[in-house]
Amino acid sequence: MLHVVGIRHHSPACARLVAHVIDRVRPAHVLIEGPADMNERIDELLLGHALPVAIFTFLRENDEPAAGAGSGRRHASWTPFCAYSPEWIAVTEGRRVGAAVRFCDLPAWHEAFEGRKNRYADPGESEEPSDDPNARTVKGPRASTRYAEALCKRYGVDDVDTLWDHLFEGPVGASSGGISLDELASRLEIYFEHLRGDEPGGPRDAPREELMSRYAAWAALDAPGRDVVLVCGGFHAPFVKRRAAEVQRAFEADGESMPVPTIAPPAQGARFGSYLVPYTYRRLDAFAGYDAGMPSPGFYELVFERGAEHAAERLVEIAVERLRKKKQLVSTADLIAARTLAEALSAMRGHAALLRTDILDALASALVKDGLDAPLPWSRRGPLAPRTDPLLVEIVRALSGEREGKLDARTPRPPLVFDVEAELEKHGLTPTAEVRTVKLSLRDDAGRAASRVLHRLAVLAIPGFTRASGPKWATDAVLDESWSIARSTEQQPAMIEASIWGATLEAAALGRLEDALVSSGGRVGPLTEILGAAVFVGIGGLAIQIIDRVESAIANEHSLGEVGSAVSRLFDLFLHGELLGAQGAVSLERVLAAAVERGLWLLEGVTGPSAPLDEREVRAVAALRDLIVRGPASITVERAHAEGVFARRAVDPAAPPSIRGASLGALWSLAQGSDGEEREQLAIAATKGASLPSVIGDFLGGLFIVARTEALHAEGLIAAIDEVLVALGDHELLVGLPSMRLAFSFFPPREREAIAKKILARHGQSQISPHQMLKLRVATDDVAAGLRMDADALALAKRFGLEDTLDAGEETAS
Amino acid sequence: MAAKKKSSDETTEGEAATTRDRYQRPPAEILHASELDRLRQTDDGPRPPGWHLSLRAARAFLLGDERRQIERKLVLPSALVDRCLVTLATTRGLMLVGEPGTAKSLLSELIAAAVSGTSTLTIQGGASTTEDQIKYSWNYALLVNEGPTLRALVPAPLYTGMKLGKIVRFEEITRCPLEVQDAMLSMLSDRVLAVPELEGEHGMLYAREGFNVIATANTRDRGVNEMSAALKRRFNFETVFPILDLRAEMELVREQAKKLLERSGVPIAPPESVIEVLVTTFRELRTGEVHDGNAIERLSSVMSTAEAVSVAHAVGVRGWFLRGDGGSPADVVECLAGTAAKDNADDLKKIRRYLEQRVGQRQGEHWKQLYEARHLLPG
Repeated sequence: MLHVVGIRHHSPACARLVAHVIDRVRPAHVLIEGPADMNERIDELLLGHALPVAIFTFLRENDEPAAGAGSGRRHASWTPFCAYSPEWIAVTEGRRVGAAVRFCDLPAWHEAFEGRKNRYADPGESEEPSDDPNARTVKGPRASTRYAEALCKRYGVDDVDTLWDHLFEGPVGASSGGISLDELASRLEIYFEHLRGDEPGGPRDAPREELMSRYAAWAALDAPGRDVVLVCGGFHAPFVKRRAAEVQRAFEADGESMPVPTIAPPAQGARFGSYLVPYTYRRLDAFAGYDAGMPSPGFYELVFERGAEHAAERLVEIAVERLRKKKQLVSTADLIAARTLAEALSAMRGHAALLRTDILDALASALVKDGLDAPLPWSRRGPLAPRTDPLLVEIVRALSGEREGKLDARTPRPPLVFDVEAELEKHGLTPTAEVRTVKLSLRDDAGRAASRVLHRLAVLAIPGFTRASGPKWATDAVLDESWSIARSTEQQPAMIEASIWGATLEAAALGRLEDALVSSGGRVGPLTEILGAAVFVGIGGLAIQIIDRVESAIANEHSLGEVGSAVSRLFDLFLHGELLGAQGAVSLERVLAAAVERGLWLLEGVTGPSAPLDEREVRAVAALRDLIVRGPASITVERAHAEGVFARRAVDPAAPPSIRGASLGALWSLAQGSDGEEREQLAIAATKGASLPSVIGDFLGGLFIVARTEALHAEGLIAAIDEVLVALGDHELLVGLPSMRLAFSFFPPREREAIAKKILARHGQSQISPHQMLKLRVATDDVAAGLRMDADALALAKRFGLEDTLDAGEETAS
Repeated sequence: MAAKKKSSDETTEGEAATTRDRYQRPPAEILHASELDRLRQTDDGPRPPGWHLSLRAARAFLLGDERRQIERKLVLPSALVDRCLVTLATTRGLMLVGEPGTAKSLLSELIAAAVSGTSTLTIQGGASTTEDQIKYSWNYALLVNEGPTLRALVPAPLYTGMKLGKIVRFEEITRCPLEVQDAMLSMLSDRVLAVPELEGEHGMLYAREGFNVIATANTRDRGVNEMSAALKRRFNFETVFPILDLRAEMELVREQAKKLLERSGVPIAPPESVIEVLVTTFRELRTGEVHDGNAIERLSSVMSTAEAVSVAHAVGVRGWFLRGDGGSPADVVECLAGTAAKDNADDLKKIRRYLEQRVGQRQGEHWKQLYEARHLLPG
């Protein structure tokens, strides 16, 4: 007889149920939703690892567009197990009762898992990723979502996680006031039956469910008269049960013997495989990523080990310990309040014990002493929102647990170790006991290839490979690197650990950088840094992926300065397009276009008539201008749009003076043909308009940064500046002096000298060497102080009616 | 017997309905009197001392219960309502914080009606609130005549709440001067109010079971009068967020606007596309997150669901009385300026930028109409 046990992955209640069923029926076969390609190596799982561990599966199809569908596909995915995974319990308990244990699901390299990182992620969340929230209202939710929503409403809970806890994760057994395991089983069956309804499998689930059903039918036929237990996700269970019976009947009717189901291997030339890797609770936690398992693995481990009725107690202790270690104030009164609240919430919600949300809600109520900027993390699925209260972040971390898996020493080593050794040998980089220095030139292919290997090791934080010198950014002028290489005892363990990121050096570096991408928080700055690393590491595909991320980050960036510096770096890369390959250039062009759009949008929004010069913002204007002039064709067509923005900003009284100057400069330098003169006139008029002492320096600073050459050769402009300065009073001059000095510092000394020459000529003082003018024997601050003192003295003299004398003195002095 | 009971029920319901209609805005306990009655009669859960309803019945009153035919009155996470009710059953006060227009006051009113049967023991906080208005003051004629007697004492909401064991609502507590806020300390921790003028047993008013305080504070006012740590410690804080789910918010706006329009004599509700345009626009300007990716600036004015309802109302009124239809996206633009941007020129600019640069790229007839009506924005 076939027993299909529908479970939720990473559910302690289901784990207990699986153990119960296997123990009761003593089956001949135990079939588990898991990668069937591991069936011959299932013993590896039982070597004695410290959980959590995961089966890491990777696939790299041939890049060449040769025959075969889906070429160039890359995929990495994990099948994680922790001590309370129902699947893990099925493996260990099945073995204990002497059953034949097999996985019965498609391997993770199968197309059904495309884009899915975690086999045991909750279905629904990752099945239908929808970027458009409005799409859902149009299409209407799936039947399963509707059912879950109706249940949530019925039980007065807000989300499926809470609903699950409410219905199934309470205490088990009459002694603790909970339900019996048989009651749990029938509840689960009803729940999953309704959740699934009549919904067909869909392109992803259908092939998996078909395989599971065939395995089940095969096992039932293989051991007639004995029991078969199949453990799979509850969403699949109702279908698999029906379908398996159909398949079994079909074979029985034909009287044929059924062969063991097989799976077609991936397209020819593809590299694929599965290896055990250590895993961590942090990665399992739904708060750490969209594709993770259940939230709070640390808490559910306690539930599994001690029962729901005792887990809560321990959990509060752990959370408080953690908070106090982080120097957060948690008073005894708060603890009493939290405890009372938790008990009351639990009673009100009809729980037989304190459940996860009871405790979390109580801790939040009692400990948080201010308004929140982001909703409580457990009120929604997915990673922690930005601006989540630090106290809540720590509480969530405490529930997540710190457990990290460790593999048994006998576990076959992952291929990464061999790959690294081979790569090092190939490039003559194998470390020796003595430290040695390796110099590489990035100009030749061999040097570049070796440098990539070392950069990849550095990205993976493998000890013993340190870069002593080299270019900071891939397009820097310096093209030599020097590395120091040495053997160390920590290298091998680090490589095995790093296999978590991938099976080959390239894949691992890719994985590591992808992870960095996730933790970059989507900010443009860190993303461009990672992009730089990706270029050194030489992973074109990743670079393109990052470029895509940069695109969305830029779209959400609020700082003009950030967009500006990203634009100039990306443009640099674009000009050195060979580093990324043709495909990179195309996506980079798209990002640059998006950046120009975003930059112009942000430029339009900068306000603050008295804001001082922000060099990053002004440089952003310059970078935008550069792109408009020298960028790819798709951007230069935006010229009219950009000129419109610059023109508006140049005369907008609400804009900071530096932005006005910069926009004017951009407009000026964008001039074509006869426009130039007209725009010079515009610049002169604007300069006269910006003659307030508090404004002029910043205005000119903006102008000079963006249109230095144009300003240098515009006699009219220099004359205008001179006029404005001469017209300023002593006091006004002092006010404007610092920013004026800053503005002129954007000219190199030679150009400053040229300007000085022109000024001297205007005042008929050509005999004085301009060089002399630019040299101060005393510090500028002293000059300013002297001027201020003069002004004060003059004011004092005026008060006592002595101004004539001083004036006369001044005249003679000059 | 049963029949008799039913008929008396009907009379009370009938009376309640007439009382209800006489007021412009009846308080929750009058508006929902029959629901409260029904809940009280069927309530078999344990009641905290001094409460009119059990926690579960109170929750059903707020969040609705189809089986008992109780209407849902708020779109809020149920966990939040749970926490609020449980907090009130303990010895700490409840502090509701959040952006304006997130239904904090309504929540506090409904809770007070459910828990104490009255929501009118309310102190409206403001710069001019004094201790007298919170605790008690005197009838000066009697005071001069009789001296300080119980008869001469004029109780304020807090005094009454403590005496009768009721929930007291303190609206906008952070708008009050600090010394007034601090006057609450002993009432919240020792649950006693000293009346030093009176001698003997009346000199100390000990709070009856059932007394507690629901305060509300506005995050926009943060820093006006920062609360002291001592006072904060006596409250549990609950932050009320704008509705997270687009569908739920659209539904709420649709329903509320329909009710308001009926009152204004408009027989048809704005079409679905107008509600979609309106709610989406509000959500995007409120959060600064645009569903097709590119972030925009958040408005500094309040873009709450309540404001969205009032814009929907205005749109419906315009459409019906000016043209005889249910309103169009163009009406949304006209109403946005007055209701959303108010006198804030910066916000007006932001709305204009949003309409120009974001809405223009959207698919759909209603979005196109919104875009084409952008010139209707004043200024």
